[in-house]
Amino acid sequence: MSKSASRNSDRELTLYRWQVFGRVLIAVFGGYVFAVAAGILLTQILPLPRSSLVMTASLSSFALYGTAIIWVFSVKKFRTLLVGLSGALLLLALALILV
Amino acid sequence: MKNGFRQSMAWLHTWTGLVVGWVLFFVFATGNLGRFDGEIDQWMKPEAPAQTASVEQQLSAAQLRLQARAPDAERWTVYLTTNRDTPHLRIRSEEPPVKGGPRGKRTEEYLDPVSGGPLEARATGGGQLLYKMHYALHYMPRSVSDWLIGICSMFMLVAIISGVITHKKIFADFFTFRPGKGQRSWLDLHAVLAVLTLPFFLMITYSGLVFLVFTLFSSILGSNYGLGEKHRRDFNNELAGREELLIESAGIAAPLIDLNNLVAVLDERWGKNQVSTVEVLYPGDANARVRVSRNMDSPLRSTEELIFSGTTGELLAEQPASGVASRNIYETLLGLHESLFVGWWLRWLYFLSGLAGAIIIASGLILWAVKRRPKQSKQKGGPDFGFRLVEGLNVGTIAGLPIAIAAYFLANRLLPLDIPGRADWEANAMFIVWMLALLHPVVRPIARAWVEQWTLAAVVFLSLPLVNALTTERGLNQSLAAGDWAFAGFDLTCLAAAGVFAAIAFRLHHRERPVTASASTPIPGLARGASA
Repeated sequence: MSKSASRNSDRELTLYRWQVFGRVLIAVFGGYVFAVAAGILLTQILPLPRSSLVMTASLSSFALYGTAIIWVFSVKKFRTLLVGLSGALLLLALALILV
Repeated sequence: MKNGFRQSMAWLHTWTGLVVGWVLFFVFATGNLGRFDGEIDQWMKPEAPAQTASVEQQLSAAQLRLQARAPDAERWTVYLTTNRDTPHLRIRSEEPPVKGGPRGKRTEEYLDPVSGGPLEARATGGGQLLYKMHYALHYMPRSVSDWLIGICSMFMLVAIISGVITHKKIFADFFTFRPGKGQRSWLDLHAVLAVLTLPFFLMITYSGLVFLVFTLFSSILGSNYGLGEKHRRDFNNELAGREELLIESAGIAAPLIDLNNLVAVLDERWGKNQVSTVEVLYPGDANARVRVSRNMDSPLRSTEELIFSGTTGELLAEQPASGVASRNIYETLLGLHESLFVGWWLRWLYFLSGLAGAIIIASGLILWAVKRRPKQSKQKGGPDFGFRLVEGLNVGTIAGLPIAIAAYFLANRLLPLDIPGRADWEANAMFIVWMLALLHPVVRPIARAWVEQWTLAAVVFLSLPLVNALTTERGLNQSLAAGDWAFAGFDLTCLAAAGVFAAIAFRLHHRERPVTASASTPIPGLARGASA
């Protein structure tokens, strides 16, 4: 009984570690793609001259990236995270195609 | 992720801080010395005469030298000694880019405006190299270091945000310091300094990232202008409204005007000695342009500019210092980061804030180890490898890096003047000593390693003013008498550092014994904290 319980908690620990690793990857790469896509989208929709657009979007990029990373680590459920991120990226991609 | 937002953020703060803490400590230490890079330059070139040449003399010397050395360059830049970033006259030439290449080769040189030849001084990286290490590291191309520094800085930004969220009582932390209580004291030190310097910390991190934005987020610019150095320059000129510089070379030779002819116009518009740099685009071409920039007098890094024709000297355009809002924000962030506009007292405040930043990082790293110490030391088979690694890196970086920096300065005085690659060997000495400091805790018990390295740090910093007095004519007694503040300031700062390091070593040494003698010592203080 106690053996199976400890095996169970071992499995949970392993799962937890993989999820942390997954979150790190999602935060670093997913967050980056999100920040780049959102930045490019900003340059397409703001009513400013081209050079100002690029500067404004570039200055915001680290704030966007930072917010994305914080969000990835604040969401409780791994599944919410996957749904939220892929949803945001899909929306951004769609917006970029439309504008 | 964990139960509750705050716990998740505490976890994130701990691990983002730990992973890049040592690199960030290096960045803060070397970058902070960069606040006085000009003074360190002077100290490391003790035989170089003080710069007294007029703007006219400097421009003549620079133009003659560039004409002789780089007649086919695409651009020349002359950095005059009218601003504090340039203690000695500096010139730079940039060749046209090789077809398909990113940017042409750049050559830099320090000049003696009186002789017109290169500045006669020992070969040294000076304060400039030390300052440059904080963003370009060493032994690697910028294409690698930009990404490394960018990633580490991004980690720091996340660590700051999550650290602030973790905090419950930000106001109370202003006034909370409980010394001599081990882990609790380290936490207080970490928090009180972080709360006090939070605006500086956030500013320096975000603005540091902004320096790299067109590398790290090149696709934002690239998707609108195209990738590459040429497009980036076009973007810059377009943003600044410098239409006069959006031209190509004509391919027809035409002599460049005497740059000195412009000085009368500059003096009339700006007053004497207000010009900081003179840049010549396409020298010797019919489309040559001369861009003259004014000295900074505010955090806004962009300054007034005048653009002249390089063949007639006619004033073509005038740029105000400020422009569109986004550019002003960008230039203000960079100006705040570089602090070139500040006087001496604000410069020291910058220096102290940076020092606080280094201590915040160091105390965070130490706190990580202190917190895990009791469990780790009771563990069967001794502490984990990861734990010992953190402890070793802590000693070798927090105490070892100051020793390595002192080695850089000592090498400047002690290496023979005529060995080849002398400037490189100064930096090599620094990194060899740092490597040794990182290896030292492997063979010594951690508590002893701390005491020994702090003692060594005190000794080497004490030796710097002595070695300087023995090897130059500008020792502390002479520099104080002559009001030579670059030298006196350097030597006095070394003495102060030696005093602090000696006090730490002394304290650790005397706290260490009771702690090892009895685990239940009532006040496990700094020594136990640091050695734990």
